[in-house]
Amino acid sequence: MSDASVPDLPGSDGRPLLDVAELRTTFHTAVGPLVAVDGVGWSLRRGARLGVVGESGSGKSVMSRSIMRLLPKSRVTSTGSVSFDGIDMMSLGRRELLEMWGPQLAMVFQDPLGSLNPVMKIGKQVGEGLRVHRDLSARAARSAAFDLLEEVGIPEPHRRIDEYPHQLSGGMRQRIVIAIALACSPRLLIADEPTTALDVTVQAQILDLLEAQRAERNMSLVLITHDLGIVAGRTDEIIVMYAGRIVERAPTATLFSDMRMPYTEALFRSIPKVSDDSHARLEIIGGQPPQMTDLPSGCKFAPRCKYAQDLCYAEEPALIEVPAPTRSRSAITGDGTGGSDGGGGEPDVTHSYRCFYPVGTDDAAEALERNIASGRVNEAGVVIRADD
Amino acid sequence: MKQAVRDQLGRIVAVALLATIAWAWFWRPPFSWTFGVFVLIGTVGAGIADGRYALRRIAGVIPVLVGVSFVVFALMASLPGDPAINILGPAATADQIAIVRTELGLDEPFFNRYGNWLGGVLTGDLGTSIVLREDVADGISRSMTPTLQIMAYSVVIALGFAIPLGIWAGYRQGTKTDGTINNVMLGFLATPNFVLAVMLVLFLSIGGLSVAGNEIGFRVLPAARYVPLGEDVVLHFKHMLLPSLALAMGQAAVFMRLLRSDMIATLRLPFIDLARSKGLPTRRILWRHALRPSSFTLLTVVGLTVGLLIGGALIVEFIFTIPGVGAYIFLGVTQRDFIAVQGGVLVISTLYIVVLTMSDFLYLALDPRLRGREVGARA
Repeated sequence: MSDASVPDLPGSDGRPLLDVAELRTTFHTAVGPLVAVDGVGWSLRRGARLGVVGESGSGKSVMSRSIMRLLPKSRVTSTGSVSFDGIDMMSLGRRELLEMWGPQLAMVFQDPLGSLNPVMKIGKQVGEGLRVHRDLSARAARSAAFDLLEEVGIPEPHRRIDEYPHQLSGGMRQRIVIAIALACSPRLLIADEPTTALDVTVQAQILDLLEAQRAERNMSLVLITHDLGIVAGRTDEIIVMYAGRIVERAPTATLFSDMRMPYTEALFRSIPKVSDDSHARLEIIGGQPPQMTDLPSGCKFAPRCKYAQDLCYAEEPALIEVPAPTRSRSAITGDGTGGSDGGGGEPDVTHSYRCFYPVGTDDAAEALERNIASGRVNEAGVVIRADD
Repeated sequence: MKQAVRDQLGRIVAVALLATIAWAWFWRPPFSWTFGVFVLIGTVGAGIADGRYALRRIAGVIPVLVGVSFVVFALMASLPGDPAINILGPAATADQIAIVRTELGLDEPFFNRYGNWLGGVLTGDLGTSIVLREDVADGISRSMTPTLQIMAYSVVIALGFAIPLGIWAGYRQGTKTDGTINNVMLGFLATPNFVLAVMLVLFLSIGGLSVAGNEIGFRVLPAARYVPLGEDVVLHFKHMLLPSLALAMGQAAVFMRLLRSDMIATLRLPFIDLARSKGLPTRRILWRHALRPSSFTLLTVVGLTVGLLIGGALIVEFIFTIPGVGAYIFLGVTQRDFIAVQGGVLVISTLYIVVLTMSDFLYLALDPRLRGREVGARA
């Protein structure tokens, strides 16, 4: 495991800021245990940008909350290791966590209206973290809040500072949420679907703002989204999650040029492209994400996969790690469930995926042909009969 | 900028107008200065938050009050029995009755009588009590003071228990702490306030039960009597503590349960997650972030409770021999003193409506989303 082998050198560029290994989060529900995150591992360097992509229910939000330790106390257990700058997050007590949240790790949430307190003035909400963490006076916190509002591009901050969230537009509210997250200059910012609730035109502005602030503060950024298009130009590495597992991980350029996991391919094909005819039908991923309380054995994506063979249903493929093409320089090193980097110390640029018939190989082409011949998949490559 | 100046000016005018109404109307008989203070704070607060809304609400209340006065008058007028005979007794002659009827104005047509009475009411003249031979407005004002004081103290005590317990029980939902708080408060809810009153008197003021010559109880508080605030402040509160406590505990249970369930709902909202992710201590999240948005239902019920208490907590007032407005009206009813009763009922209904309006104003203070709706639409 890389978390054990990485030398403990403060400020060393080779050392990851965040190292996650074998993270497993289980909800104890009435119908039995639900493993929302199942043995996830990756690491992130200072200043680097990681994209986490997956459908709703793929475990990406639960993963980020497990890392922050922001999950409810009862009926949830999280195991594995999360090391933030050498600090073992999993062993921290409540008081120590309070000191981490804000100055070390911060989060931007999906729903900007719901995330803001409706009955508290914006200035108070932005300055509050500073009052608590840096012991600022009300006056000092207010002036810091004013500066933050300016930094995140709120027009007329002198007026907005005394307004309430309902008086702002959706994009403005998300800027406020970002200002709150940035207030104590965190070293890692986790943005959980930060633009999902916003208009397309505002989305780009918010993503640009996040990127500008990340670069300025040399913050690390985890950008969680269901939309591959959003992470395309804005991350160094991408993790694709399905059913609580990492199914593919690669430097961003590699992922788009050499995707191996059929699920990634399916996600990619569902992005509308400018070159498409305006009435072109988008490809959809047939079927539903699996029931997390009743997962199929074998590959969890198999029932929806156009390449799936008997082997896929029988056995779950391991996360295989191969060297990524050298042209994609990654700022991230990674470690999967079964992977090992032997403690080399030099940043790996690797590509991992979890598939017996990786996209682009002859095996996959043959598998697809067999499926078309058997009538499981139609000529257009859409699964028409979800068998088992 | 001009708009802002005009808004400020409108706000000042509204506040001045409201303050005048509150002072001129509610400071003197038949109301009392205690109520005047309450109305003054409420209306001025509302005027500052949203003056236009406050003025509009007050304008809307006026027809309701006129309607109430009519209903009260009509009901009293339609009661069976001739008030003149009540005053003079069964042995009165027809001449005597005729004289008294003329004196009371009972010979005039209904609407004239109503008009005369309403004219008097508007100037604070509710007539002269038949039994007590005293100005009704003065009598009500005098008996209203202790009632309003008990009301205010008991609500403050009830909230003093209910807010911390409700917050804590909501935060600790489903735990033993939550269960214990709920059960204890349920016990208070199930105990009638007069039983609690008797128990409090027994154990805190008259020495409790005597077992084999030993007292199980204390003699720390006076049992009964009303001492006006102006006479002796310490003694006043000593005398008011037990009756206020007897009324408060049942209310505290209701308030606590309401706040608890709203807290549970609020604590599930995303902005609580965000507050947690800022690294705020739990205490701050509960008191600064969750309490205010969880208190809207509580406010409604506090308003209704306060309104109901104005009618007098009759039994508790009797137990502690406090000369409250309940006792005043009760006397009027038993003595068939229709002038005192109709004055008392009118004042109580008026206060009830005013209190509910005040609690509507408080929503503005609690929830900024309700403020200035019209201002925004106009601009």
